[in-house]
This record gives sequence, structure tokens and C-alpha cells, in this order.
Amino acid sequence: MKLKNMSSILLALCLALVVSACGQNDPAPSSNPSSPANESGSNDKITLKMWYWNGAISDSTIEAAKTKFPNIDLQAEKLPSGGDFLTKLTTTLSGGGGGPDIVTMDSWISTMLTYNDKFVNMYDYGARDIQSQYLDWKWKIGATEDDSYLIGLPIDVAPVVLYYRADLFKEAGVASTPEEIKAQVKTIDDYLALLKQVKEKTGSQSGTLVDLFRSIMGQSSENYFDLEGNYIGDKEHVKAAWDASVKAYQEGVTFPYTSDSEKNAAMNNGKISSFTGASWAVGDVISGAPDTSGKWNIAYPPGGVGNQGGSAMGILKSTKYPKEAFEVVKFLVSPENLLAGYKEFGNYPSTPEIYDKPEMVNESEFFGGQNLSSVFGEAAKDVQNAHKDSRDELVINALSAALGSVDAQKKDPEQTWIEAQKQIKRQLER
Amino acid sequence: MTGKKIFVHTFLLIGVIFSIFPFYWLVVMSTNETSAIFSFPPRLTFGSYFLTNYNNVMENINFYRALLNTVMIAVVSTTLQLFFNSLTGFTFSKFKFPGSKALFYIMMATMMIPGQMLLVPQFIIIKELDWLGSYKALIIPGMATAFGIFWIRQYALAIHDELLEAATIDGSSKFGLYWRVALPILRPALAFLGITTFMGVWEDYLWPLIVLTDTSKFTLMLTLQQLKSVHTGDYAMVMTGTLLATLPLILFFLVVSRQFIAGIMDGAVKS
Repeated sequence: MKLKNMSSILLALCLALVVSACGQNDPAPSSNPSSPANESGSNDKITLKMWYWNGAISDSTIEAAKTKFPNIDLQAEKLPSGGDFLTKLTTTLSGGGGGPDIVTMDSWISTMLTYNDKFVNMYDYGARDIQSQYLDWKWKIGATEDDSYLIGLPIDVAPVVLYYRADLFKEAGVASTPEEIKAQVKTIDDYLALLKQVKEKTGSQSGTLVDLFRSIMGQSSENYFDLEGNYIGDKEHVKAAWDASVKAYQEGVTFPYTSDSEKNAAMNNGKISSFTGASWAVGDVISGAPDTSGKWNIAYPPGGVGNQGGSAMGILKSTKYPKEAFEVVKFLVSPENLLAGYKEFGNYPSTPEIYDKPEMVNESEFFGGQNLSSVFGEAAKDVQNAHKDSRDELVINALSAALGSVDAQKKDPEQTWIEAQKQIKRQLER
Repeated sequence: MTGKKIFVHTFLLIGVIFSIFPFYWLVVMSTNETSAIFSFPPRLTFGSYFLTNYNNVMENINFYRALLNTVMIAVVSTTLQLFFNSLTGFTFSKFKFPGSKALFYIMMATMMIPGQMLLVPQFIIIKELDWLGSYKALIIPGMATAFGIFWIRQYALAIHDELLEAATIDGSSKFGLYWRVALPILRPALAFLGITTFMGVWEDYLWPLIVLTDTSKFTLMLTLQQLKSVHTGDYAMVMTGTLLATLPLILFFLVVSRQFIAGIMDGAVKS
């Protein structure tokens, strides 16, 4: 009997809660429909909502923006990162509302170009005036093919460089200083020859063959689709990357880890002596291989520079204050503020003018006191930019899985290539 | 006999170790530094960094606010679901009305539609209702579920019609039949539904991610994700946050499951 009374009280309470929660929250979504964008008088604050994720832009920079724009109530919402962020954004865009004014975008910004009508064209608000401050290839990722529409201003870049164990390279008698590597190990073939010698002398290896494949493809000026959207993933440049990776595997210079913890363990006990990684991998190596502190170096990568990541910031069309939003974004991604992001998270800035500043010097004990910034800066300027397509991911995943099976299931590489291409073409036809 | 017992117990013990180990390691990780997690071989003993990690979590996210939000949503959702599901399930099982069969099958058919497909349409409905960013968007669409109704209906089929007739003769209303006769019998079924619903709401991620817009209204699962940054991360801190977010759920389960097991016994003796 008692329990029954309790439950009816609880039920009533819940219904009451829902009803009261409803009343309370009503005004929130339709924040200020009554005050349209009149010439913003100095008294009435305008509200700008911004979406970002932890590590995209420094919180201190956001605070600085609030101080700089006293007329703007900048509501920065720190959302979950990665695919979740993208899911929320795409659902909101296709649902047609409820989005922020300012939105941070990761390297998937190129897929957003298809929906450029949902974004403010930043060229209309003076983006051209600041274009020269940013790396040209990075800028173009946020612009349409004819460069008439820009949906995002660059934040950071992530050039891929060579991470290697200087001590093991020295022991093997190969090029072991960053300068030597840049001068002597220019092509992928040079790198494979070097890896072979390192393996023979020290027994240590490089990353998986899939890592190598992705890294070589990242250096290519062509991806998997041409400008007209035709599939070119079965052409010579992809096959060459495939063959080089298979060769590396057959010579035994790749280490077949299947998870990050396995990779970390292999790095930590000296089984992996080199890998190509983006600028953000610095933190991964430091936390993943603590026992090897002081023994690593980074160098300009053999074969050319790829890029893995880096974000940008845009403005949604649904905003009432595109002009003000643009000023805020321009401030947040200004060279000085990107410097703060580099200091805080290691996000390498997309503004070359500051690369040589003394504040950029980043001498890491873990890397034997090497100034990492100078290598990243040099690499960042040479990044190859290939045409991106929303179907790239499908192709990369299929090829990676196939290439992985060459190692894991000892499949015949030629046969696997043919099967993978068949499978990709079948999927593309759907 | 003893040989068999030893066999059974070893078997069970292995099962227990396998299912407890991930949780044990979660606790270990939350008491160590991040570098210890990645060291090789991995550390399997407790460290002394729990307080440091705890403070890091508290510094980065508003944990208790998120906990309060989640408890509120979970309690309200679960209570409403138990009520509406059992009312509907009982009705479907014991009352015949025109179209009742068709209605039931239509409802069952909705279980065939994958949740992801409903994401955008549901989002649009919520947006048109102007519920974006409010808890209504989380609670009201989940007030009754096809599975819950089906589950209760199957259980309620076992209630003897004579029992309901007797109550009707004694002057009970239709609602009284549900409230006074059916509900006590349905207690074990409600227990299961209650636990799964509560856990489901607690762990729900995608839908809150999409409809909530204000960080201060975020649920625990969403708030935990804020601890992760894109590339590098303090895993010890993330694990501590995860542990703190799981503890209330375990506590809830321990307290409630005992009640419900008692409930199952009750039913067994009465019938």
C-alpha cells in the first residue's frame, strides 16, 4: 500500500516537473525575435552563439574576444569533438535551424562546400583583405573551386613530418640529423632503403604498411577523384603508393600494430624507430613512449609533405549579424591568437608570418632539445593540396582494409588490389 | 557432486573475472597518471593520483551540474515510461476495442525502423515545436516506447480474466483495474523495464547531443566528451570522469535490483 502511494506521488511529481520545465525553457530557443538587427546602438548587446570543441581554439582567446567586443555577448559552446560534432552540425543544417552563428569546422570543411548556401560568403565581408596572411593551400580548402565563395577562415594546419629515433638511426649508420635526412632522404625509395638498413642494424621498424600508404597518398597532388568527380583511385599514382607500401612490408620494415596501445608499447620499447605523423602527434609520442625521452627527432619528410587535419571557422547564413560575426572570427583566427593556440595545444598556426617569431620556438626535451617549430614551419609551406571529394573516405577505408589484409591475412597483393578496386567501383555505383 | 561443483565454480569465476576486469582497469587508470596507462607492460595496480585526476575533471567540466541534469531526466523519463507503457500494454492485452489488433501491429512495426533514420525527421518536429535546447525534447518523445508496451503486454496476458472480473464486480473502475490489480502483478516486468530505461537514458548520447544547445544543460555523457580534445588527451582524467559517471548507475542498480528481486518473489507466492 505504502509503495503504491509513493509511486503515485512520484508520478504526479514527474508530470509537474515536465510541465514546469516546459514553461521555463520556452524563451530560450527563440532568443530575441523582437529585436531585429537594427544599427547596433551602443547600449543593446547582440548575442552571438559559437560552436567549438576542446582544443580547437584557446579558451583564453575566447575570453580576449569577449573583452575586445564589449557589445557582443559571445556564447561559446564547447561541444564533443570529432564525428559527434559533425553529426550535430549536419543534422542541424538539414533540419534547417537551431544552429549557432559561428561554427568551427575540422578538416571535413571541404565536404561542407556542398552546402555553401548555408554559410555566409566571407568574401563579402572583407576576407580578401586578410588572405595574404594565411597559407594559400590552407585558405583554398575553405573556398569553392572558382574561389568566389569562402565558408571558413583558417585556424591551424597539421603538416606531416618524419618522426624518428635519432639514436637508433645513428647506430644504424644512416642519415640521423634533421639536416642530413632532408638532404639525403628525399624520396620514398630513399626512405625505404634507409628503413631496410635500420632494420638490419637495430631490428627496429616503421609504422604499418597502411600508415605508409596513407602517408604517401597524403603527399600526392591527386587524390581519388578528379575535378569532375570521376574516380581516379585505380590510376597510376594510387597503384604506385600501394606498391611502395607492399614493398616496405615485404622487406620487413613495417610494424603491424593493430591498436594505439600496441603502437605505444612498440614505440616505448624501441621496436618502432620512425613513422610519419602530423604535427599533433608530438603529444602522442610524449605520452605514449615515456621511456624514450630525449631520443626522438623530427625531420622534413621524405617524398613531400602531406597534411592531416587542421580546422577553420565559418559563419552560418541563419545568423542575424554576419558583419559582427565576421569581425569576431577574424579576431579569433588572427596570427597572434593562433600563437596562443600553438602554445596551449600544439595546433600549428596557418599564418606563416609568425613562424620565425621568437615566441614560436618550441624546444622540447623529449626531442633532445630540438626546435620543433622550424621543421613544422618549413613543412607547412610545402603541403600538397589534392582535390577532396566527399567519397574519399569510402575509398581510403576500402583500400586501407585491403592493404591491411595483405599483412594480417597474408593475401596476395596484386589479387587484393584488383578485388579492392572491384569492390570500390561497386560501392560507388550505388 | 563436488567435482561438478568445482567445475561450475571455476567456470563462473572465469566469467566474473572477465566481466569485472574492464571495470577494475578503469579504476586503476583513474588512480594513475596518463603515462602509466601507456607504459609497457601496463600497470595493473592502484596509483595515488586519484585526487589530482578528480580535481582535473572538476576544473574542466561542471560535473555535478551534469549529474543533476542526468538524474532529473532519467528519473522523470523512467517514471513516465513505466506509467504509459504499462497502461498501454495492459490495455492492449486485456481490452478488446475496434482496431485494437491493427493498432498493436502498427505500433510493433515502428520497431523495425532504425533509429538513425528518424534522427532528422524527429529533429525537424522538435524544431517546429520550438523545443530545441529544452529537456522536453529529451523526455516527451520517449514517454512511451513500442518495446516497452510490447514487453508489458506479453506479461499482462498472464493476468487471469477472473481477477479483473471480480474487481469489476466489486465496483472497480477501468483505471482502478490497472492501478489496483494489474500494477502489483506487473511489478517484476516493470522492474526490468525500469532498469533498462534508466540505463538507456543515462547512457543516451546521440539524441541529447543533437537537441541540446546549451552547455549548462548537457547530460553526463555529453559533458564527459568535453574532456576529450581532438588529438592529445589526458586519459587518466577522462577515465576518472567516466568512473564518476558510472558509479551512480551502479549504485542505482544495486539498490533497486534488490527491491525488484523481492518483488519477483512476492508475485511468485501470490499466484
